[in-house]
Amino acid sequence: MAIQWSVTDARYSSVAGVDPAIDWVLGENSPGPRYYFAPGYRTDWYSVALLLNVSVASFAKGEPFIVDSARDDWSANVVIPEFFISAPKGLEKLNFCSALVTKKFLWIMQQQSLVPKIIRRIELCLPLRARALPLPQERVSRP
Amino acid sequence: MSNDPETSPVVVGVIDDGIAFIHERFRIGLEPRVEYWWWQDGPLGGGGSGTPGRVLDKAAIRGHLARVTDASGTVDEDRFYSLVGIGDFSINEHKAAAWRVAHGTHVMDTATGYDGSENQRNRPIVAVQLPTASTADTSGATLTDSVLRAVYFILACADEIALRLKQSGQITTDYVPVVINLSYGVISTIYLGTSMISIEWLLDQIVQARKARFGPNALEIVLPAGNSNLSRCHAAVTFAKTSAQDPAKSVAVLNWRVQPDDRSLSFVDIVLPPRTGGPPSRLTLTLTPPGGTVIFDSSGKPLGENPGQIYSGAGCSVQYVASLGPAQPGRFRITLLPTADLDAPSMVAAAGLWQITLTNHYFSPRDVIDAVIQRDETPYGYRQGGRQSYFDHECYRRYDNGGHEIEWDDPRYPCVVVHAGLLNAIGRGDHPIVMGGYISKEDVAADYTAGGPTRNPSRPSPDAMCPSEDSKVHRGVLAAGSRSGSVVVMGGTSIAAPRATRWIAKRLARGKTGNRNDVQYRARLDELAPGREPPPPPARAGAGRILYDHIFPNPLPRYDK
Repeated sequence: MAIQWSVTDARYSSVAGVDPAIDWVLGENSPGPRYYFAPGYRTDWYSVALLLNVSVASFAKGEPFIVDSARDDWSANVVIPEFFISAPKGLEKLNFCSALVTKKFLWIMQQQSLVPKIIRRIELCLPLRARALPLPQERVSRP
Repeated sequence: MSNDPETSPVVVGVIDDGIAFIHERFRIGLEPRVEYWWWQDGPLGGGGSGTPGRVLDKAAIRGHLARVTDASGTVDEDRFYSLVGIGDFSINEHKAAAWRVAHGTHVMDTATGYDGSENQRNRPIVAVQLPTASTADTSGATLTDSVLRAVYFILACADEIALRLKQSGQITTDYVPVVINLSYGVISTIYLGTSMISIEWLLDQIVQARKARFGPNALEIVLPAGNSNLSRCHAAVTFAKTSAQDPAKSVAVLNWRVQPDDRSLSFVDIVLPPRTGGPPSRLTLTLTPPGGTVIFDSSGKPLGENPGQIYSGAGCSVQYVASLGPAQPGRFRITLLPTADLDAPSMVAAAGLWQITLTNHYFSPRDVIDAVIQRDETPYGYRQGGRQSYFDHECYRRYDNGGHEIEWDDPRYPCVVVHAGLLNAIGRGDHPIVMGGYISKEDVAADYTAGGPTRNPSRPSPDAMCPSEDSKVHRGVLAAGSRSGSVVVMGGTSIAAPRATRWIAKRLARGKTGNRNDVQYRARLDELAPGREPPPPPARAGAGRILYDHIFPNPLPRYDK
């Protein structure tokens, strides 16, 4: 007797350029979250690496692909370290970065088809502990 | 900064885990040589906007150091690490720097540790402690962002250091050369051209851009070749015929041995050659769990190249990951649940022999399909997690007639499971320097040191080898333990890489270049030294074995030569 697969459509990674691990970790009834978040690591924020078709600074602000009225919402759901926005000397033109994003960011990415128009590739990376997260309201002003 | 007029400052960046960064080898008396320390997963504080974790600059390190130093000048290092968090035993997490042997401390000492009496002020250190999860990861997510953040951080710090040195008249340039050591290895996951972002490509872009701005000695990145040569994690599959030509000769079966009590996920990537034509599914697969029940999809067909669909069953899931373009390879990713989980005993897969049956519908005998198992070992000192699965085939010869482990693929005994091609997946780019390891006294390759080929024609193998073991009897090499005054043993290509880092920093400090060509040139010269054993094949040794004397003229004594 053969075992049958259950087949589900990938929500995010049906588009080339999106890491299939995103579906594995965010999928409903998927065991992924259990193994993605080690004990003590569960947060609402996901670490990702992004390869972009726009500059990192533009992407961080949501320019020009997010309408003005939704920019605050965008900024609240994606956090990019300052050293990617003001890059070290020589790296100013490189359009990749790491970022912390929420599920809502991924939803916006899917709804607005940001892949591959704005985001060439997105890869899910390992989570950070909640204590380490520089969440938007807690950002410090030091350069 | 310089005492030696022949040398100028070189920033040494170390990206690792378990860095006991106030060990006396990283201080001059009570003056730390670490300019910046970043614990990516630490309690938030000290970094710039959007920077996770904890950053300490030299002033902050100095301040903490003053608090834990008594009137006699004795540093209470345990208290220091407790203050900064990595040795805080009120927190329930792994504390790598609290162990007697810590990977990052050993690596950093090998790369840039100096006795305080040497007064080494020309090697400012930027140390980045990776998140614990990155080190112990077996989840399938990657450490790309951790590494990317770390490299950018080190370069941003190097820019600040350069600015300070220029303002104080100690240098005249706008930059300080940087050499970064990343002693981490990955077997699979990253292949150029899949929909994931490859770290090696990112590192290439960074090195190129930095050199384009400042010149050829601006930045070097050094990586290990990896310790996977004997892992049996690579199968190179070829087919004599397609299914239309001869059904019997179009099938290959891979035996995937999954161990019991594996408490983490296991992964196999089956990487297809770039698409040049052919049917929608050039290759199809079925899986047979231990017990012999074949898994099919709902229509009773094998699984094909169907991007966007996830097949799940029997504790296993399979997805085909689409290419980004016609010239890029696609791959199947097979994910298996742990074989033991005390918290969720129903969410486990069967341990034993899983069979992956591949059927060819397009490829010619020249096309190679790579099946690679992801690294799944529990790192030293960590709680038991993964157990490494492997391909288990009768044709694979582990031992020779004398009982020695066989390190090479012997064409007289062809097998689908090969040693070749297990080079660290991060180390497959054009620019980083990749180091294998050899045994110093016997002058032979370490049996674990991995080699090429890779799919990158510019990267057929590691660049060279450095000593990673003192002898077959005295395993490992000596370097700093977690506390001042201690010396411990550690081996592996993780140690070969920082030896090259040290040598490269020396060259950069003298205004020379320290790139792949220079490393290879040094190795070729050293191979000509009299009395050496025959060189290992280039696929694992690259240009050859660099002698110890260039790196440590006066190594710690360990045995009588």
